[in-house]
Amino acid sequence: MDKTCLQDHIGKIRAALCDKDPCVMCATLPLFQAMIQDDVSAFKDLVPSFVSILKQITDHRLPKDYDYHRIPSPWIQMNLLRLLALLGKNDQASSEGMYEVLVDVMKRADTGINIGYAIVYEVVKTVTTIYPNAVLLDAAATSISRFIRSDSHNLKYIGIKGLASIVKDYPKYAADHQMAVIDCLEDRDETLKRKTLDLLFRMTNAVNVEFIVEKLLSFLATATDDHFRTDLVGQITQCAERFAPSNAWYVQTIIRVFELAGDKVKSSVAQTLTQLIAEGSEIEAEEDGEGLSSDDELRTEAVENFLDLMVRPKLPEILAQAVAWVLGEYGFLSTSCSLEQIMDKLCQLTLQCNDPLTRAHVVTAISKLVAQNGGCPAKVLAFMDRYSRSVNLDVQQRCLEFKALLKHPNTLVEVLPVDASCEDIEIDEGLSFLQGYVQSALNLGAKPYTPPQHDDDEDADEGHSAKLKITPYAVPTLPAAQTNNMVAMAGLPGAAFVAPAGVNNALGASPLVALGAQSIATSQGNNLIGAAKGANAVWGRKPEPAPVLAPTPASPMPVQQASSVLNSPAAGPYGSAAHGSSPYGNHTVAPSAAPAQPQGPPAPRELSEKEKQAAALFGGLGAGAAGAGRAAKPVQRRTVGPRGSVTAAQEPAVQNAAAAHTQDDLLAPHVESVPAVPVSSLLEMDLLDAHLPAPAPAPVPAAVYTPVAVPPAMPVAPAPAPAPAPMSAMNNISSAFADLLEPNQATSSAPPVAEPTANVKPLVIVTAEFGKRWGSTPFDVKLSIPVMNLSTLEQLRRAVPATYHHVESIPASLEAIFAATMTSTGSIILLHVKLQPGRRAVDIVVKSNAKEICEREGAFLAAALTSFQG
Amino acid sequence: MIKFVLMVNKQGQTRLASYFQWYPIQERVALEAEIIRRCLSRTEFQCSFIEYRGFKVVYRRYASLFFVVAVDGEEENELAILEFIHSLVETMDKYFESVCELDIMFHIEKAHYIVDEMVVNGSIVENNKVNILKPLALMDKLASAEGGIFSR
Repeated sequence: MDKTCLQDHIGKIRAALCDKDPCVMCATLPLFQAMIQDDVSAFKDLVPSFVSILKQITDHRLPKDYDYHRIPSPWIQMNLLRLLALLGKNDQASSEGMYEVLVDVMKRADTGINIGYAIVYEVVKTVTTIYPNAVLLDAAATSISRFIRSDSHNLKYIGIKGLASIVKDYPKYAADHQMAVIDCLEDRDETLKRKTLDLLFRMTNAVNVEFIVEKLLSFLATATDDHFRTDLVGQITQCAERFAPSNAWYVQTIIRVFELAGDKVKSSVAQTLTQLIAEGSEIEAEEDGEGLSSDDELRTEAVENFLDLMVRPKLPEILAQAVAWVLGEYGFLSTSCSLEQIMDKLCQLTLQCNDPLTRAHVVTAISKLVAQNGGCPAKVLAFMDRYSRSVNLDVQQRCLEFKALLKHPNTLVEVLPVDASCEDIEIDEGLSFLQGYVQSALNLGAKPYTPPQHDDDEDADEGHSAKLKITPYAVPTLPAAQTNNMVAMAGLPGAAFVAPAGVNNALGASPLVALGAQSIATSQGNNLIGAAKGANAVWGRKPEPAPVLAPTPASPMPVQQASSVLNSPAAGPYGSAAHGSSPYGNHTVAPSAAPAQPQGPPAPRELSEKEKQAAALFGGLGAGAAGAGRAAKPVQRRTVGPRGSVTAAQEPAVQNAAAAHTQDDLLAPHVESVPAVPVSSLLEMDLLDAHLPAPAPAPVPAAVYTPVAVPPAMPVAPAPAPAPAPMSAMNNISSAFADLLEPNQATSSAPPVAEPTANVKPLVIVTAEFGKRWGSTPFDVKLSIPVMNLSTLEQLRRAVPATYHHVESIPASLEAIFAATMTSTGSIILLHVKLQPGRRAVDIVVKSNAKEICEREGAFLAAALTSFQG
Repeated sequence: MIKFVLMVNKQGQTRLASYFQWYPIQERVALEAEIIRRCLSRTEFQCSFIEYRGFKVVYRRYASLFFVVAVDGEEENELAILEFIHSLVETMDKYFESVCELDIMFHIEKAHYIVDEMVVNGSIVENNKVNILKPLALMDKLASAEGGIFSR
């Protein structure tokens, strides 16, 4: 089953699990098995569902038709048990949810019939796979012992299987059944014997290894089935390697394995063997000892064994190679054969073997023996002559080397020292021994060596242009940005199929997004909902690195989707965004459009310690509630946001088309800051504006903001609590007008730039309020201001003009927030500053209801900060 | 995963073969011959499970017919498969009313329908006899209806 096909339909499959027709539910279980085997963590949340389904089944809630011999739907029960085993493996929390139902199933299944036993066995398997629970394990062990002691062969078989699965982790349960197991081993039934062997293999430890390996070898001697033999060989070698009581025993065992089934032995085993013989055991290496040390004994024995082996007509290749090597190294130890006789035997060995590698080994071995012998017998010479014309180059080379070395017997001995296979060869990299040769050549007039020139580097430099560009592309225009954000978003919800597209098929991707159905995607285009993640509900809605980063890496985004899909979805865009240019260099036109990104890790990371503040501050409002609170406002975009990723897909289209309209919408909830006054009075306000003395900041209760700019005569602002729905209509109008009017006010009431702050008064609010406002103000300006004299947060505070009220600063991240208000319009100005000591700059974000205000204040602040002294 | 379901008689003639994993034709023929040989050589007092070429064969003899199901993987519950064979026989019994080898021979397509309803892509999905036999009942009704295109 191709698992990638299932990705599209995970949602539907999950829904089908809860279908009221049991057939549909049953049909989904194999699919879940396939998916869970691939990725366990994605489905951990299904444990309660499976447990409840299993419970219902065992409670006989299914129609009677599903019963099989009065047991309800046994194969479905077993499927569910398997799923639970997969999910509960190594996971205590999930496993604990299952214990009860497992006990239940086991009890009810324990009828006298085979199918009941099958279910019990399945429970046993599950119990041994998931996080252990003593009660269940005991129950499992009891059932197993009943199976093993029963008369039916099938039950014995199942019992042995169950025992094998238990004994691996809980060996003590095996002890009770030794006799029964031995009986099974002796049984006539081949299958049972094999299963018992398997059990023995799993039970091997240092104590019983010899017995068990003996048994395995005896089976190997008689077995004919290839698969079986391969399995046995693997098992024997594993046991031997792990639990060998002594080197000698190990060598003997391996030799026996070679004899019986050499063709099935992996070459790595031969390697280990020869290594063992060569190195011996470390403890005994230093023994001077009387006579031979045990190492030598080992080697002598090995040599003798091999010599006997060579008598056989047909040796497996691997074995022949091992034999040749060992004899070459340690042949001198042999007391039964002289070196010449060994060499004879080796020559004969080559006649039988077909593999050139073996011949090469033999040639080398003979060379070593000749070195030790001191003289070269005629037979060997003839042998070498014959193979020096071998087709195989390796063999030929070795023979020729040998013949060359023969002319220099001293060198031969040096080159092939005795028992030095473990010593490193020293290499003189400077080849100093050739210095004499070089000198003589130079004397004769040869040109000295000139190393290659560096002009090759130029070529290398030219080659640079062929390298991959990792600098991001320029910021794309807005519509493209949004569609790219779409793609970014689509890339997130595990949409591996989007990555290969690498194409900006934003809208095409939307159905995929819909199926992805992750809330991450929904945060696109929506500060507020994105901030529904508690991590970001710090200063209200201020995930500013997030939104701005979205447009910048738009183009690299498709390329990086593959990597972003692989990374955690939230981190993805950030990973790519890291390449983006400084977020503060850009303007975002419609901040609601910009934040296509999920409010991913980087933003909350730097704000994470403040989560607690936010939680405390927001009190009753949970993270979701905070977002939902906003969502309750009469902006349908937002209400749809948290749930429908489909609608998130539609949002960019909406934003694209209705950028202007959304501004109005945004203003609607924001109207809290503007009093619900009739339009006329608003106009009046303008006229009155210039004459009004600068009102002192009205006392502001904790979470209530009364517009400072409004003369007390005006009706009091509506409560800033969420959901000013009843006033929405009015607010819309007034806000619309406010929109229109604001530019006028801005130009009329604002004095020339020299004194931009005449109508800007500090706005005394608290962080919570700031947070709320932040999300609702539509316009912002981000600037990065290089500063020379600002290096501490304290200085920064002083640098910001006094027309801003300092709301809060966070020393840890060198940030601070300020608030002010326009006296004329009552529109608020929110300021966030962050000191960047590394770049010697300050990043500021100015948010307000009007673009002009933002820009003006931004410019003013820039001037103020750069000119700040000390 | 169930690899295949076979119904083979004692003479080695395959009456029904439903493969869920593809094997070439020659391999299938060889496979079936070998398996039935093994099954025939076993006595009643031995396990109903054989290990063959890396997968497990579960068999049961009903009168003259051997029902053979091969499963792979260490994970499979052989006893469950044995009972599945029995449940398959019971279902066929319900439909054919006291099923015998001839029924399977002469209504091979019905037997295939039953197996296909119960096993999908190697996994057992259904054991409710009513559900399994529903499509067959519908087909029978259509076939026996007068004037329809399926009428005889």
